[in-house]
Amino acid sequence: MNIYLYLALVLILPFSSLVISLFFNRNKTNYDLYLNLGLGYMFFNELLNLYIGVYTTLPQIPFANIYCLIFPLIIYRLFYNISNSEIFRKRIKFMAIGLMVFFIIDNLIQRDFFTNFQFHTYLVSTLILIYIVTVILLQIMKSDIIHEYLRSKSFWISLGLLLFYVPFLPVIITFEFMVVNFEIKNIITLFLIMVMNFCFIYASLWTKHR
Amino acid sequence: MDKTQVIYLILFSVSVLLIMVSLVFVLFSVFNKRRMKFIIEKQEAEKQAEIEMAKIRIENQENLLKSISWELHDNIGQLLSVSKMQLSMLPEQPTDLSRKMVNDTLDVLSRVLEDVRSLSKSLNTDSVGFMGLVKATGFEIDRLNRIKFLNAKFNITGKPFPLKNDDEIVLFRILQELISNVIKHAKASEFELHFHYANNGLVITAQDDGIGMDISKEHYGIGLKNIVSRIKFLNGSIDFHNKNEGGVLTSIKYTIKDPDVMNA
Repeated sequence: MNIYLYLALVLILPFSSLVISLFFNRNKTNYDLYLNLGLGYMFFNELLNLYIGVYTTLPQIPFANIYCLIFPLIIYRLFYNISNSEIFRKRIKFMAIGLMVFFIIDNLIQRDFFTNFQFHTYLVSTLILIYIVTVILLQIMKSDIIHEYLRSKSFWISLGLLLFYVPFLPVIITFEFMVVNFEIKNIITLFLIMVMNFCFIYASLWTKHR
Repeated sequence: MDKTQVIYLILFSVSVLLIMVSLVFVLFSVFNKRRMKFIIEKQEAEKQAEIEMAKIRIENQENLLKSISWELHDNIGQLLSVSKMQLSMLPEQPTDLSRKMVNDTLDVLSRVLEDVRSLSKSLNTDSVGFMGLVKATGFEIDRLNRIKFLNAKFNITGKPFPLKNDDEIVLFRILQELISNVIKHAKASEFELHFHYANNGLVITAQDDGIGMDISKEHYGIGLKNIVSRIKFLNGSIDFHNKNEGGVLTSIKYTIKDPDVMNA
């Protein structure tokens, strides 16, 4: 697969979701800010990677490692706003602090922040995210929104994230322990990003509940 | 990409797709199942609320009727009795004509007193509960014949058994409303009421030889709406049918919810 096509698509997808969420959002909610922030950061990160890769000799790894911490924290905050349960909100807060502590400890032990992908941090952040999304989906299931769950914004955002992170988890674990062509990873990542962004676009354009 | 890498790509892609499809399938089937359950629960709650409303409405009406019944019995009835007593104590009048007038008035008063008492009985739910549906209906038919407005008949098939007390009262009120409709609107000369006791409940048919009625639901008056809401409360059914030869045939089906009641 052509690397430029891949980069272009990886940039265009979050950018489209961001533009639609900012300017064509038909369902305004109290967590739109964090969705926009997440999409904006996703787009900015890809742009930065592209810039560093093409115009500088700087390593891309530290930015990817920072992304692995900041992006999940934004998403946790988004779900913090979605949830109505005080106990679950406290749990999200606790898990976010736990992730930051884990990130620091991981770096103190491995000491490879500038040279290697922080796989353990990524793994922990993904597991927390899957747990949070599952609880949010259960909350939607128990609420009145279930009546029209396909018109629920939080359902589509949760679905998008779940459809990206769950299938990607075994892929990233395999890539950590096996030497596989990077192109394969790119193709799969691109497909998953497409699915995730489709869900985000749907959430902004065709939903009417929280 | 060499051959191994292509195999890897296929393997990864299939696994990812498989995970995605399973996720979507599980998620949507669970959500759809929960949605159906939610809809059913909502409908049940609405139905329950409707029944509660009907129950409250019926209770209010019963209370009102009870007050009227007490008023008739304790106040008007007493006044009529006193008037009758006083008339009876009048000294013998010199003329035959005056004596005849007093006796006639006494007769009228006796009839009014009897009617007031029977009306008071039929309005009071306690007496319906005490007498039972069959006896109370019999009294109602007698009252109807006494006023000589129309010729009413009442017959029963099957072996009568007591129903739930509250249900008997509601059924009795439905019959009263039906009779009242016949008197007010049907212009009938004959009225026939039939009770058929079956194993699982009671079928009541009422028919008259009047002018018939508009049976479309949009044209139901307060009386018919009351009947329908009472039937709903009983979980029964009612059907109005204009007969070819004139008049209306009404069928009420009441099914016993708790068969033990039959043996009560």
